[in-house]
Amino acid sequence: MKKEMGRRDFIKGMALSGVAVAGVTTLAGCGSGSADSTSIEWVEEADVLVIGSGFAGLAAAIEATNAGATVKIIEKMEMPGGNSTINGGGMAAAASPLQAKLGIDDSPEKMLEDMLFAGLYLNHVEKARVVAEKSTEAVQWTIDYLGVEWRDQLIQFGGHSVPRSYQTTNASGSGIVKKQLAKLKELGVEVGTGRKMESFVSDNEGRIIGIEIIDNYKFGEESGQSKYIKANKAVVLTSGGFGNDIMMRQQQDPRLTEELDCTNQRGATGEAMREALKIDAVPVQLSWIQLGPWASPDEKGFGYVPNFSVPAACPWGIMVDPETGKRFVNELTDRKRKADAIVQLGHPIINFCDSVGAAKAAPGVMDNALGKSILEFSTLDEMAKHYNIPVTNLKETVAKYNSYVQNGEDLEFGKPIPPTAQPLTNAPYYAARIYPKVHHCMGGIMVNAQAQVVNLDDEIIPGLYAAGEVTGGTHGACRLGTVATTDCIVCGRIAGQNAAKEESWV
Amino acid sequence: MEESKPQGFRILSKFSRKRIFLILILLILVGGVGTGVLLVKASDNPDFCTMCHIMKPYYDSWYDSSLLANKHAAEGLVCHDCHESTVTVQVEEGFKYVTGNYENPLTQREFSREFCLECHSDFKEIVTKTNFSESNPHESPHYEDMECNLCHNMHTESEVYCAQCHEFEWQGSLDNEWQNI
Repeated sequence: MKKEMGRRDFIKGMALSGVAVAGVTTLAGCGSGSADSTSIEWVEEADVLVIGSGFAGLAAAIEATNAGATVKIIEKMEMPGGNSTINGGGMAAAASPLQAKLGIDDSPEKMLEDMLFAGLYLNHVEKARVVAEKSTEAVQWTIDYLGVEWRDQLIQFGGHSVPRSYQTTNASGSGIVKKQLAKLKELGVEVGTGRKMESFVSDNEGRIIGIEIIDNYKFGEESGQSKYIKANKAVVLTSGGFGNDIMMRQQQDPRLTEELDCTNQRGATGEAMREALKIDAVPVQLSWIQLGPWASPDEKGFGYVPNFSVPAACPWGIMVDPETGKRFVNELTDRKRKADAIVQLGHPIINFCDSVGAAKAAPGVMDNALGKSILEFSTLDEMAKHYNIPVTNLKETVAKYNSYVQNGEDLEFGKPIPPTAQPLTNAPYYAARIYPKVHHCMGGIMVNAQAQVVNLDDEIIPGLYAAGEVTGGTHGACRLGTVATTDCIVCGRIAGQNAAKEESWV
Repeated sequence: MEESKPQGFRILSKFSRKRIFLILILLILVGGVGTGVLLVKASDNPDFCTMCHIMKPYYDSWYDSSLLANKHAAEGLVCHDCHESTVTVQVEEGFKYVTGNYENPLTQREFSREFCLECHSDFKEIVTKTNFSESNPHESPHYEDMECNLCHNMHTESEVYCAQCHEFEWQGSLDNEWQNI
């Protein structure tokens, strides 16, 4: 590996003799002036170069291609899709056709207000507004243009004031990613996997003119060869967050040690984001890192339990502290408030519902997780015994909650009881242990509403766009469930459209 | 001076210098090509590969191991059946070895799905074989057309790619033999 690094550094040094390779701090002494792009050996080129192949990158690539640009996508991992292809496949849309069909009153303003409330009003409002306002247009695009198949019901994720989240029929983001990839194939654009972005290359005006990549890269082995790809019009950075970058997440939030599990794919590390920071992109709210309060210590990574807890056990059931047998939080509050409440207890909690509620779990979840991370109990006594919950307290808690359901008002925690909720009396009961896992980085680099990356002097970095989790500010302190997908599709498309409109520097 | 030389010598000197030169060149060429052909031929024998000591672990896994490389050996496959190699590549590799410009251990080579399917052509049958109730590792809901070598390794134990995030029951039901398929 050292040998590889040495060779790479040598090549870097050669290139630097005539050009500024932005963001390589080890060579900062060479400065970022005296650019001469003619001395770089560009081995490939494209009008628009997309870094990362999640929802945002693929959306950007599709739009840029349709706008007439030649497009290349690079992806450091073996397979395309990043976190986008392994999540629950939810996408929030305000005032959507499905809401209209189901008689749910909603508006982009309502969605924006939900986003701001959850985000502790730290959100960059103009960014959040774009996402809310274009949410329905985006979901419609996935249906009409991509052919994504959505379930015919909507889910009310925590922190949303109404049910507004679509979910793919396969309950996975892959339901969208696969369609995006198929569309790109049709358009003649393939994802170059095993290609890692190493640094930005800019001219002496600071315009981004291409990137250095490590080709034949293998995650974990850090192997490969240095190459330069020219971006005639623009680079679109859609490299995702850094949830699985233990060094980086601990720099921002020292509590997020390696002991804490993570729902992300292992390549969710922050080196591409750091390269943007090195060329003076503005870091926005990097320390707001979301913990998913629906993940289970009884399974790896994202797992099945989120698709039980979110659509079933939270709206149609309750969460109890096994030490007291009592509720401790509004089960439908946003992720931050719920995760904080669990972390404050300091141990996994029990989230359960009855058989009526369990029927609302995402397709396939009960089949796959039952008897493993989700358990079935024929009585509350049996459940109390298994989890060592004080049984009298548990029964009192359930009785109290059932009275709230009957009266339609949660007098303790203000949970918005779903209008069709029924008391928890229909055995068997289904339960899962929950403890938060690192899930999403709200923070990232700053972009304007046109998806242009902004620098520390509040100037646009020419030739650089970004979208998705690598960007910060849209969600403030807390991203609402399924709004990331909307963010990625909406802003990825904007980034791709605008990148294609750039004047070529060549 | 020339006249004083014996006739025979003069003829030899006059006609054969060129000829000897040509013959020598021909011999070198024929010899070179012959040696080349012999070397290329010899290199098809996996023993040839072990001339470079760094190849030994890979050779061993082919020759005698429980790994997938050995299963391919049992079917009569040799190194060059997968590691297709031209003369130029072989010369380059030889040069790198002699000059010490090589990695040890070598970077794991990537093979395309299409390459594996050239022999394992009935992919549908493979899919059918692994249709476990919980999931099918050959039919991921997350990815299309996964590369075979994401899971199947030749010279090291295979690993379930999906296991990065999932703990499927069928993983437990597979005996150690799986790691070698």
